[in-house]
Amino acid sequence: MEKKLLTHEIPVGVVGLGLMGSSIVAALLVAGHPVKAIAPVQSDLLNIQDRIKSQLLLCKDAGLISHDTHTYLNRLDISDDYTQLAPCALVLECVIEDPEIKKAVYLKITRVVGSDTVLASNTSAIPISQLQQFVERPERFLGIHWAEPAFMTRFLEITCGQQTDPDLANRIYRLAHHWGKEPTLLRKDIRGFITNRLMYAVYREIFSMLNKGTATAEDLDKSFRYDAGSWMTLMGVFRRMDYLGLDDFKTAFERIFPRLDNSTDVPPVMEEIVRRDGRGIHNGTGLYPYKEGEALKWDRAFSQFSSEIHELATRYSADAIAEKLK
Amino acid sequence: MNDHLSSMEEVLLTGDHLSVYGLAVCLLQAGHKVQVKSADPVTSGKQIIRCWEELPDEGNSAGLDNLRVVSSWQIQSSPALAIILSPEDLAIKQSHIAELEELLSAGAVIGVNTESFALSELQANAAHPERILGMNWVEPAHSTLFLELIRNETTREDMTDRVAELARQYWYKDPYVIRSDYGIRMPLLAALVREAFHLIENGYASVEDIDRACRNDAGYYLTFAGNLRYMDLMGTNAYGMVMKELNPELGTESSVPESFIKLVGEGRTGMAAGKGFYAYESGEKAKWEKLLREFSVEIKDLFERYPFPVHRKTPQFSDKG
Repeated sequence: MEKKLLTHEIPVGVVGLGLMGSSIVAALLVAGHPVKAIAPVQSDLLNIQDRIKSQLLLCKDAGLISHDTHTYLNRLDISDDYTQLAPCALVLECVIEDPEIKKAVYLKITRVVGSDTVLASNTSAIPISQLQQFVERPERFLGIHWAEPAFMTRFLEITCGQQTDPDLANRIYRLAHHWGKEPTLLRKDIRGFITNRLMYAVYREIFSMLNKGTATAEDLDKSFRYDAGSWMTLMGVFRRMDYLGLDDFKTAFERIFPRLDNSTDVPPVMEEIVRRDGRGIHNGTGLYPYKEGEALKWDRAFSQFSSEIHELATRYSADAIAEKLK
Repeated sequence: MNDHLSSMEEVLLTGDHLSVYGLAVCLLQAGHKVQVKSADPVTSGKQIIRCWEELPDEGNSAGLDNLRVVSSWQIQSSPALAIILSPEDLAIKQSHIAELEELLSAGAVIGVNTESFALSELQANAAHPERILGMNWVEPAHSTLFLELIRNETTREDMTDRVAELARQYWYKDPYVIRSDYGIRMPLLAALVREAFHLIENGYASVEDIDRACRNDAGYYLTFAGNLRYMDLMGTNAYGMVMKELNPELGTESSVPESFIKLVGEGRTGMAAGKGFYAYESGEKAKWEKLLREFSVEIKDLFERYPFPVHRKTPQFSDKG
């Protein structure tokens, strides 16, 4: 599949057509692939054609595609029949985060595809090294982790398990550039991958400061939002440090690292939220209080913001930045 | 100073930090007279004017009349506020403080940037430690809302309050005040960088991988409302469940990696040196500066409208005669 990387010659399968799966189907269609979409549960088939069409219309509005939606929909086959996957060079699994269910799905996939077909999971919670044990020829298995909506964001984490063939990971990494992504390749499997680990390290420090009373939730949100939030769409943390000069960071880090929180426990306030099944704005129980009707305002504002930041981030993609720096 | 800390006062600005230029523009926009002390006044003056000219509503050059860039202080009035923006070096910060104390009346405020030195260390040898507070900024300082004010038990509360009010009213900032000897901004960033180093040192990711992950994940939501709010938006309890598995496995290193010490030791200190974590061509730093200033104008627009529109007083150059 890697020879010329003409996406329309590379059929890709997607198994699991929930929120994430259907969004990935749209992303692959936009990239030009013929897509075999498989619904392992009947409910996935409900309105699936319409859902994908409306996602393609969003892409059309955003200027991501130039042809009419039917051009893309003509390359899509939706079915509950796994044998449809036979010609696929790559199959992506997007079913729920349950190892047993995933195991059963992999068995159904490997029965019908060729022995060199690449298998990937969209998991964000289960180590790839664990999942690949369920697959015959585990060296062809890896993680391909998308962010919602998959057809809009440039986020993609490709993760190797212990047994994944590194050449294969490199080929998928190259292919992902044809998906409008700026992929990240994790050469070794680790819980939480990159982004989760970076942010959970920040959360640990935030909760330590909250707990000690050093700062309020509002202060902490202002601090990281007004600092990192003012540049992180443009620069990663290392580019930012290069920009500001590394000497000062060396001095500061040498003095601050020994003072950072190292606790391994779930912060008490988060334990309490888990105990109360606090889903934040979705049921009014979270880190901030919510009055009646306030959650809806937050939800709408965030959804509007997301489309605006996508637009901005697209104008500052890696390619666009390289062009501006010429 | 209690009675006359206003946007009409002269502000002294000193130190060799990159953010001096943007901060000078921020203060000029607010209507202050600004005196910047620099070892190279010609270059510093040019940098400030360049920042000024790139303002989207540029056209009124009156603000620049209030700027003086000097190689030694020329004190005529009695400035109520002096701001130090120096490298992270205790001796340099203390020498700036000592120099300013010679010039200023006892009631004048001295704000000093500090990421890792305790405010009490900076106050230690001062004649008037009660008027010294921590003031940390985000580059470019004229288009970011960030201002961290640090005050400890020694610092006069009324002075901190007045600076916060001035910042809110005239400097286009949304400050927060930390009642401690240390700020919170750098520890939060340090926590992220420590984990990034952990992933790199253990062979999980490269510098480029980390940066891409930052830009393409957090870069899509951080601007909206901060981390704690983001958890509420996404479903708070899920984070608690992940923490149970993930927190015991996060990095706990108490020192920076040797590779980083070596990098800095070899003079690979970042864009200004032409090399750091990345290599840079000659002239590339200036291009990044321009790019960041352009980007900052765009992201500032999002900060103003999200999560909900805020009506902040836009600096008016014409306020000044």
